[in-house]
Amino acid sequence: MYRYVLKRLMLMIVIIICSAIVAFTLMYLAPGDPARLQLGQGISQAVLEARRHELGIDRPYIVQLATYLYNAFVRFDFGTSWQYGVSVMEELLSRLPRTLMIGIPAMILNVTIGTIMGVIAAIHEGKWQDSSLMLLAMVLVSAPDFWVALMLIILFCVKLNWLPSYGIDSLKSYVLPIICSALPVIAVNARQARSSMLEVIRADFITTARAKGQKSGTIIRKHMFPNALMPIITGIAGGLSKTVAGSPVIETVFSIPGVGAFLLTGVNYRDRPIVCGCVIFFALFTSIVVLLMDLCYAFLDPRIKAQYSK
Amino acid sequence: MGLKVKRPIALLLTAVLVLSSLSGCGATTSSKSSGESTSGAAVSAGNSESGLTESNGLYSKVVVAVSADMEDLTPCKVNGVTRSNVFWSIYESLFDFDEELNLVPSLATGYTIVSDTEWDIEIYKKIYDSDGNHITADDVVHAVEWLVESGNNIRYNIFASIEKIDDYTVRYHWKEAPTSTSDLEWPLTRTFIFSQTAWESHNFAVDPVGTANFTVESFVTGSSLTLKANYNYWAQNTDEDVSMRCRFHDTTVDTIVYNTIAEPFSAVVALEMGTVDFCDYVPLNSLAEFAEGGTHSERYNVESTLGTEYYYFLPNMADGVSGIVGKDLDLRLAIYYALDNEVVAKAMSGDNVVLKTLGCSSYPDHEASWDDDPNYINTYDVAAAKKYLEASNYNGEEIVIIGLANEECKNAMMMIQSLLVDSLGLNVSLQTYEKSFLLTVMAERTGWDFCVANTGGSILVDSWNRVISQEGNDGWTYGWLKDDKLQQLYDTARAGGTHDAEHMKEVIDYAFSIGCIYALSVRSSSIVYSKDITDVCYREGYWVIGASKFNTNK
Amino acid sequence: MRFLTQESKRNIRNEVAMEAEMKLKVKQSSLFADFSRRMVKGWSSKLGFILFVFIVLACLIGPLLSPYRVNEIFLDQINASPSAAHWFGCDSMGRDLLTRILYGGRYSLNLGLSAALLSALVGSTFGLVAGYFGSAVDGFIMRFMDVWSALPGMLLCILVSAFLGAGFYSTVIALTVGNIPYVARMIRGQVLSERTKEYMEAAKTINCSKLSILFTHLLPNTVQPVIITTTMAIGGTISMAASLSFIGLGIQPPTPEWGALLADGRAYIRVFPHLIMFPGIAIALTVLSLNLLGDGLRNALDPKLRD
Repeated sequence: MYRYVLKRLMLMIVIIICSAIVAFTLMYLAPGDPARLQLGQGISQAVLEARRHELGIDRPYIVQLATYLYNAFVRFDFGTSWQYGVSVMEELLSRLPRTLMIGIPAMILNVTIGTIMGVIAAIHEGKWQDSSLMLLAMVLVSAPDFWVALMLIILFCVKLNWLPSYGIDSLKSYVLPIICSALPVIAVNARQARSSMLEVIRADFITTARAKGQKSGTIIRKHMFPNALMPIITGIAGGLSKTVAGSPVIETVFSIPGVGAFLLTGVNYRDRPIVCGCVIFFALFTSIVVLLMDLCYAFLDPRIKAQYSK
Repeated sequence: MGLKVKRPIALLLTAVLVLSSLSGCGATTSSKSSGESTSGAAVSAGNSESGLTESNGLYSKVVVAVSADMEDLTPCKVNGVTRSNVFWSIYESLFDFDEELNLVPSLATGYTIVSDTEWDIEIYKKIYDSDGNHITADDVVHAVEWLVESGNNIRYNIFASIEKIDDYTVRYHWKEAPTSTSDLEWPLTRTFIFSQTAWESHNFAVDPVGTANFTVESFVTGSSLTLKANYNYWAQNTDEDVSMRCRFHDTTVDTIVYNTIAEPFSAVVALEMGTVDFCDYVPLNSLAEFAEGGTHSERYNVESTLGTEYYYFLPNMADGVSGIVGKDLDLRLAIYYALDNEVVAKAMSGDNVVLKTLGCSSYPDHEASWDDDPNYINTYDVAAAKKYLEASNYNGEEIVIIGLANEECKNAMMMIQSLLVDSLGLNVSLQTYEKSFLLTVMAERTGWDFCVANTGGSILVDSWNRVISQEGNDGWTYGWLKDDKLQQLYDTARAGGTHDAEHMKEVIDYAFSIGCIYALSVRSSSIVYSKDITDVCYREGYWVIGASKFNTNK
Repeated sequence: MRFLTQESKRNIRNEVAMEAEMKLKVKQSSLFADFSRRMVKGWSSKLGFILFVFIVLACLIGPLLSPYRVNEIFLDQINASPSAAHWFGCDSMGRDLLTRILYGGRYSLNLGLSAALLSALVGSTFGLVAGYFGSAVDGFIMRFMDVWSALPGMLLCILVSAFLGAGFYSTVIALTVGNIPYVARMIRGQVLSERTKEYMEAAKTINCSKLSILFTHLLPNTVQPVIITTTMAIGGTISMAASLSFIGLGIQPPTPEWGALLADGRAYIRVFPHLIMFPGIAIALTVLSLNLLGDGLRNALDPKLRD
């Protein structure tokens, strides 16, 4: 078991380093001169050169890359933002809770609702509950998330005045972002839950249980649900990554200063420290989530556990 | 492991994951500044050791909506309209400009002209910043030299060096005798002075320490900035004569909160709900409900002023993308005559007023007669445009127009493209960029043929700086033009003794004759503010909340 | 014991080859018949198909039938609400919204289709090569895919968009890169399970070239799940393209791509909600129809549901 975890951790670190290299290279090759971005126009070449030297961007690519990787992964220093003048690490740490404040409740919401929808649809397979629930899930996944956000803002903020439409002043201002992040992913979880429940329903041991005379409710609770749990756990991992990935757009619409908005500002200003810092964060986050879910998997499924405990 | 044991473990693992992430969030909810609606209760100044007079109560809190984050509060980053208002509440410079653009003492008591190129400036003896550091000539020299070394010293053209004479006097060495306000504007009124001790112990980007009448209480980047009145403001507590200083250093409110609300409609909603008291970017079609007769007019006032920021349409006189725009005057004239800038102004979200010449009436040195003088800006003549097009060598090359990524600029570009394609059949394509990125694209000679951007300044001739003057860009204008006669006319128009209508007209006429600039429209900005603000204080055309008058009788 | 002359050896080889080819043909024809039978059964997939065809036709033909041109500006009709003259109203520059939506649909659909197909193509190639050649090649490609998928799709899109700049082709590439690892993994899984089947051995014995094995034998049999996910990926890429335009990367003005239309209208949602309602509904309906279609395909091709 330990070897498996260790191997996965090593792999994770390699993946994160590679993502950092990719992001760094893309931003290095992207057009735009950071010295000019900071100083504006009408500056003499000498001053521009001095600023470039100060920022360290006049050195060859490999040197810059090596320095950046060393700073980021050994000293945990993501550098100073060219546009904001603050340490990227500090900014990320202060913005992280806001993004998670949206991401995690959204994930809980969409897993819960999706699973319930999928289970009900599976139990009533073929009947109107099944078709209508799946259609509803389909509709939810089809509408683009920022459009749903704008529609909900019109309804809840403009017409009803129940909720604030921007900022992070109170817990109420997180309600709409959470709902908007959760909605598109519900369908994926619903479908996943439905098909895994269907598989279980048709399994032999359920027929046996029914033959033995067990009540439906007990069958659902004790036999169907635990076995269908695995793909649901996958749904959690996928859901969390997707909601965190969707954060740039949601955070823009709701003026929430989270990591996604930070990445977007960095991209618009071609601010390499910000972009690389955010990319490392996202890669780390996704990898950790996947690793934890795989561990859950291995822990719960006796077949996989047996494979690794040798 | 049995089935019964596995499920709770799975739930436990999930719960641990969730809780550990949520615990990180809990810490932040307490440190956020609240944006609750203001109630206007007067806070009497007597309950703190302040030097504010007992008879003036301070209004407690005002919330201002801003469309973009402050980003960086380092003294040199004072570009952008919103930031001036904020920076002026945190930092001070040696002098200020009054309405007639005379130098008025701020941190300095006055200047003595020692020789043509040497000015002695004396500062007040009891200046303290908000940390309590005493400001002396050493700090002045440090602040100025830091600005010069950092490369952020814009328009320091005649500045040579600065030296300390004694504890409260510095000597400025100029390269040549200063003749106009533009020479002195940045060195003396836009350079913020701060304490060297404070500089070395604080990160001014997020935690600035200045000498002005407000301090930064909290700064959540991307979200809000809270300023609190500085009860230890040096100018309130000093026994020196500060009566000559401008009134916008007065403090009339205790707390100012700047909330970043990027979407204009959210700002309007916030105004309606009363969570915001002041907003300067309410969309035109929503203004009516706050103005007289509107649904919210009992709580709000609307004030419209013709701004001084105007949009221009600048050709790239180097090769650019087409290779022909900068070299072919006939092509440019064809384009200018085919542009109906009334229609463009109308397309730019409505509150833009069309320009008829290279300037508008909100500038003190603008002459109304220039608007009536026929030129290609105020003339829309497709037939003439077609004639010029035939005379030119245009052969279907692609013309690239770049511009800012905001909505009105995009609409202007689309309108321009539509006009050029429809009437002249040109091959025009568009590219939009964020502001700082736009400047780097303009700094290349290739990659663009025309640029739509905005400019401004305290006087009209200063607003021409980027597009006509060849000083800033290593001997070229921002449109890659090098023309000695233009530079000479411009320098004459700008110099103190010859800064008049006649010389400025010469610049305009010559610029039109070589077709190097076209002006589009000027924004009329409207501010919507709560009726608790009885009088908005303006400084050089920008609103200053901290010194505005409030209704403290509630 | 039969005496194996050259001729009889050749006969035996031919017989084996013919049997192998028969097996291949049988496999393919029954598959197709099965598929089309089940495709027309479900009502939701029929609805999806009809809706999608309708949208495509509307976007292709609609702008030609419209009395207005795409960029024709009516300054007196700025932000006009829906009326008899302008069925969907006008946008902030007085251009007819319906025409712009239909014309923009061409771009959105084009983006979605190109990106989805391109990612299917590239991903399939990776997956096929990895699955078939195995060992070192497989390990290398799969690790490569792991790194590729470490970043969520949207983020990769944003990064590539920033790098390539704005414009149609750069957006297509940005949208493609997100999907590739997913497709590659799926094809590889299929290839691994197909590799052990008999027809593969049969193909080897008749000395098929490696290329022909990959593309004429393996690909048709592993492509089913990819067809399903590609169909749904088209919807996903249309949605992502809209998101990119909404945040300012992607297509440049005045192209009326649906996401750009939403971005234009967002300042006015309080007073002129029609500006964002109609483009949003267009996106939602298109993606919905594609999802229904994909779902129907999945049901039709699912081997577990085969009788």
